[in-house]
Amino acid sequence: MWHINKKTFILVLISLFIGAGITGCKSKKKLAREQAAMEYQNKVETAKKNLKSIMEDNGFTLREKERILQDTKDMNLNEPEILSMIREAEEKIKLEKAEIRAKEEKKAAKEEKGTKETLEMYFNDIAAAPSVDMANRKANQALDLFSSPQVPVLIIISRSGNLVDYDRPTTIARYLNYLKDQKKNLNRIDNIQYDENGKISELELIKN
Amino acid sequence: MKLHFFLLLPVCIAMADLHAQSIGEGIEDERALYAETKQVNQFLRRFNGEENVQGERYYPEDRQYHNRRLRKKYLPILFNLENDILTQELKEEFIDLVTDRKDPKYLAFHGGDWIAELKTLFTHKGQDKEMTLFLKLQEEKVGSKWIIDHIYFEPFTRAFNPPDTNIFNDKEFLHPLSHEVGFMNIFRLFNKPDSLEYYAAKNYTPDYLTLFLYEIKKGNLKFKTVAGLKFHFFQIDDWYFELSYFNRSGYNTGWLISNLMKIGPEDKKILMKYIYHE
Amino acid sequence: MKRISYILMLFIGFGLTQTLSAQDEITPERKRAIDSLAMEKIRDLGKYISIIGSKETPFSEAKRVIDRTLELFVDDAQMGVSSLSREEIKYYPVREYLERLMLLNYDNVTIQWFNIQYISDLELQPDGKYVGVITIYQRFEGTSDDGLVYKDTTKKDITVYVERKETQIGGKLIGFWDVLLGDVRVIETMK
Repeated sequence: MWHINKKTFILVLISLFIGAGITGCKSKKKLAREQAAMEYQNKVETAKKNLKSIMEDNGFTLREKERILQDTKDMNLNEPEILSMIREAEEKIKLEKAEIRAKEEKKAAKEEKGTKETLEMYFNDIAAAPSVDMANRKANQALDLFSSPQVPVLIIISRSGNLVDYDRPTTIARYLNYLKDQKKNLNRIDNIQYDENGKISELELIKN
Repeated sequence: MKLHFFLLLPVCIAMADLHAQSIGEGIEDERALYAETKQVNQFLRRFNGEENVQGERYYPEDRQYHNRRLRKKYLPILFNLENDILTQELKEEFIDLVTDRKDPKYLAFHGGDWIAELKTLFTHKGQDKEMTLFLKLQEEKVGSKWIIDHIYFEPFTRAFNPPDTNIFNDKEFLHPLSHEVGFMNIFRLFNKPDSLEYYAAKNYTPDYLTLFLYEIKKGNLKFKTVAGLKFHFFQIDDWYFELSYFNRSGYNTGWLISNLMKIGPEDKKILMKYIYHE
Repeated sequence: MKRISYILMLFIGFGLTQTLSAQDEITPERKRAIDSLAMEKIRDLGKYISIIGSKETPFSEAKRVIDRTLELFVDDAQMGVSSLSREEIKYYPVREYLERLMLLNYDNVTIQWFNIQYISDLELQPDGKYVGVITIYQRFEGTSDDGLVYKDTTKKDITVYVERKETQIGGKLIGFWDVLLGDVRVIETMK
């Protein structure tokens, strides 16, 4: 009964194989397409998540936020939703930057005011020092605020319109000695300029 | 005289008083210092009414600048009040003239017609000798400066006889035919150096300033010090006054008018000669 | 065309001289600022003199202060001193005057200022600098260790030279008034 000839067997086998082969090819393409779609979806999700995290302040620094934004932009996702979210994130970062700058400026101004007050205090202390030693000590402390003892000191004696008249320019070292010797502090601080290390590089005083 | 002095005193004190109110210690001292006419510059300002009673300066744009009443108040105390040569009548005439309503007169630093007479000491032949220098303010391209215009030095003047103004001089001369003997007779002049100047031209006058410069350059005159200063003013037409410094106690001190004269045009020449010891 | 450029030149020239005179012209307001600057220098001088004259000042400090004091003066400035009894003046170069003061070594030196001063007009001299004279009165009192007190009241007529100068500082052109003291006439007064 089981009499199948070799030829038939091979034929059946071939047909089986072929049949199987046809159906296998078809399902692979579909799979790839599905996979790509999924990956894109993932990207979109990541981008959304990233952009959301920028918006939601998840403890990222401004620099990190900028990097995340750039990475997201680099994904080149042409999705209206993403694009609008990017715009929002950009706005948000811009705002934060402005805030930080304002804060820094305020801090700098506060520091400058601090230096001005400190310096005024030193000037008063030197002029009122009970001994030469004390005056010298205070003068040395004051000098720490300056780039060098040779920092120019300008003293305005009169100002009318654009015309500013000064006394002969001096240096901070000499000016501190002057305060020590004369025991009087008659000039107010009008303007301070700083070097890149935050030390005073030029001082402008005005006669009271 | 005395009466007027006491009448004026309250004015001086009142002026000083205004200024001295804020000062605690040494009020007396400061009042006197305030009243003192401290510089010639201040004399000019007070004379012209360019300074108020507090000593603040008036500028031409100020309403009170050259104010007549202010000048009337100041002028009487700008005289040396301890001097009887200055009669009250003369002073009043002068003050009325310079404060005239229609034609007031002012003094000007750069106005010319005033000279400084400076007493100095020089060493001459090993001895200290007084030398008088007359200086004038000279205007320059930029600014101005004092220059030496004249000097008076007694040894110089003594060395020269007064110029030969005699119409008839029968003693010292080179006779008119001296040229024919080749002026060989000229040796006689030099045997009598005292009368040498009689052989000079009629209009010859010795130039003492040149002599002075020469003697300094030769090292025969050496400057020692300055010793006294006064000024002669001819700025007010037909008037002369002398300005001297009075260093004494009281309220009538500093640079004050020490002499005042009404002069005609001829008098001025005579007076100048007198001042220059000519 | 030529005419226009000529007029233009005139205007430019006028503009230049205008700025120059604006810089150099001493208005009453500026004069007051210069006056007070000069007065300040004179007060500084008074303070330096009391430091130099005080025994409490260490030698090295006194030396330093003498140098600072001399910086207030032009070179070769002289003190010309006369007394009540003698009209002739005695000359002292400022350095010598200060060094003598240092060596006198008073236990205590006080210089009392009278609240009176007189500031002359500023006059232009031929070199383009201005010169003025400030008159002040001071009472000097020096007490030596044996309790001897030396006192005098003097009138001081102080020459002041004022010169407008310009310098570059930090790339900025600074116009300043250089105020230097000159000869000082010291007259002992009756007050």
